[in-house]
Amino acid sequence: MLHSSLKRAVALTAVAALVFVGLSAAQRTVAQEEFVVGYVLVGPQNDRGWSQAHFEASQYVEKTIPGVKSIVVDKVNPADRPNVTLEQVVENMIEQGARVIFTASDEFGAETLAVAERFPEVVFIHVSGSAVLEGKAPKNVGNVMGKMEFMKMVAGCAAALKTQTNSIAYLGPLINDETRRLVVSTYLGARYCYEKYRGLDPANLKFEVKWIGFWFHIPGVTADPTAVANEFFNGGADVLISGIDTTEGIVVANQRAERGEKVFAIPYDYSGACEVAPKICLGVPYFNWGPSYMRIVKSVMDGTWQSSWDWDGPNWENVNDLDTSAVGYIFGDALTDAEKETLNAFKKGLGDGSINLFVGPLNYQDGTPFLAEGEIATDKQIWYMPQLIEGIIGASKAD
Amino acid sequence: MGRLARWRGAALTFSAALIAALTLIAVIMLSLDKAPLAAAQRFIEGAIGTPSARADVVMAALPMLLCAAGLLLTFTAGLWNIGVEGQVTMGAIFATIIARTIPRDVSDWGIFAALIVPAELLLAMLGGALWAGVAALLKIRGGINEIFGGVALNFISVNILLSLVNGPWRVGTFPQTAPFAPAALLPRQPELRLSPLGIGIALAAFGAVFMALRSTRFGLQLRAIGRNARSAGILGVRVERNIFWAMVICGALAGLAGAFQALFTRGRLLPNISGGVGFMGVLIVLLTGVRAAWVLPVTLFFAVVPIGSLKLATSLDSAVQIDATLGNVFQGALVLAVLIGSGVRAGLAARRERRSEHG
Repeated sequence: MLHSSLKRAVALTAVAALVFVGLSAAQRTVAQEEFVVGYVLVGPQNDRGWSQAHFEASQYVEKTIPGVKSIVVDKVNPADRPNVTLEQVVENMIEQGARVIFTASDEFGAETLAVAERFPEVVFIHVSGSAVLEGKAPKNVGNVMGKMEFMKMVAGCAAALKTQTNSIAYLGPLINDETRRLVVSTYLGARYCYEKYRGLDPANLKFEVKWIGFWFHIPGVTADPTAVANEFFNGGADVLISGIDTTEGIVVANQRAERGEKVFAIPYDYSGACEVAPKICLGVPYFNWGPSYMRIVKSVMDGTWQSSWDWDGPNWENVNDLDTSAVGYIFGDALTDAEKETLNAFKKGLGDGSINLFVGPLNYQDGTPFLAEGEIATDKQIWYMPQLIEGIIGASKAD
Repeated sequence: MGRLARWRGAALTFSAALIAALTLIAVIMLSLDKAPLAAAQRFIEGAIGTPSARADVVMAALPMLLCAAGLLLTFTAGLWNIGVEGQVTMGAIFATIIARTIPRDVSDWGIFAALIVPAELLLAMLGGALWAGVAALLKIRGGINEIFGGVALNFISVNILLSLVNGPWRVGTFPQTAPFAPAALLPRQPELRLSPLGIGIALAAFGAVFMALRSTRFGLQLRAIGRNARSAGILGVRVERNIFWAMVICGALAGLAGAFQALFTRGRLLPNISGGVGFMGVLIVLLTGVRAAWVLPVTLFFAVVPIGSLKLATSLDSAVQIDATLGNVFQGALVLAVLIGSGVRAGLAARRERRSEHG
């Protein structure tokens, strides 16, 4: 009896000692005295989509402004972290010294405003929101968004240049002002290029959107984007444009291309998204949050920051200049040189204003007029897009 | 074996399992080039170092405690009430029936304003109890094992929840209700996320279960059924009736946990509202070997994990910044290690007994 418990004690001590030694070897010290910026992401920081674009921006800010340190917390959503709220995440960041906190999802809107009231000395930037525009935000809250509309037009154009079945599919997330205006922009780009550059009748171009119900797949809650993408291809579409945070669209297109089908995809959000399947990629419209975030963080650091609603546009000289352009479009390997040239001409037209697609006559999907003949849409009309427009197949409103 | 020896054996198993689970996590972290000891320090400091973190831990523990309390009854009677998740979900749904109709301003409600939360909680208990009652009837009348019935009912409850938050109860673009009005929420302290009323209710419920198991006829009968239902029946225990009530009470407590999730943790109804607290309850009860006295500390321990993990994820020091899912790995490894440990201990005891019989 004594013998066995002695053996047990020795074994336990040995294990404990080993663990302790192993742990101490890797211990490090914590540095302080830095300007801390917090980033709350809704999806995984390596999703090759929306959330990763924000993660890259955090790294950009850290690199370009000396003394800035980031805290990035990803997957803040009820499916991945069932018992963690935005409020808790934010509190923890502030405890660590965060002075600016970016909440990078439409979904964080209401909670960002609520928690900002509790911490008036911290600046909160709610990405993609417009509470500041509506006068509903406390003075320590700002909004920022990129003018993705232009790059979605380029995406639509690329799809229209490529489609042989005259059928373009749009894999939509959930339905709101933002996603409606992006679908509409894509369609306008597609229609324009189909008519102007290919000389075809836009009445014969099928453009359909299907919504999965959330920004990314939540099993059991949303429709499965993989299944939706396959449905699209089964239904005859040959170009799939993704509007969701993640890469299912291009993954499915690639699987089908490997089986010999002639299909293409345009992913979204993140500059590296084409790398998933370069050969069938027509390019990616992406957000480049770095410059906007750097501007905001700098202005908070030097005390000049004021609450504002920023809708940052591309640098038309070079939309892919990562130091200046808020949105960009990287060509994919599946584009021919001629197609690239056409797209460059289209982009140039958008940039110098010679091509404006939000011009009447345009009708909403239910036939009511959106813009009269020659009327140009204001930023607000585009931002608060209440419906899809005529010519698009798919739901304008969640039922 | 004496009571003391048994207790010491359990404690030993638990510490050995804890060390094994910690070692596993440390190895994972070292392979990711992270600093486990610094992380452990930050984890513990973070989870219990500040009043707000302590409040979060306590509040995270309450729904688990309620589920674990209910499950003590069913496990004692030998019932695997896997349907507890669905009972939590139904509780949240039933609480929402009232909560979503409460206006922001209830200043002219007078005395009725004080009845809102009690009414929500009672309805939530009813919802959970109903769902558990169905599982119990399926078992007693239909001969359907409570595990299968529970799994099916969990599935149905999730789909009811989704159809509600996607359909009639949806507000805005996301599948969720609007945030509930303050008067519909469990009253919380202004500075801390802490609800003394919630703590009182959960502790009272746990205390009642503890006493019921220890010193009532009901508890004794449940134990008898758990040991051997047929013999208990022959000796005059009304097996079906006791099973029914154990399930229904467990369901009511789980429903209460669901109400906590909706009326406190989230402040609205949304998909995955249970957040897995029912399954956590199952793990806790399994981990303690259905010993009520151990449930409270183990629940607190489980509640520390998500809060501490968040501290690691929000840490400035990249050497301790780890994905919070590692916390779940730790919990899973711990439960597994304890179960293995108990199994090994039981096996050793059996062998010793055999040997002493022969020798």
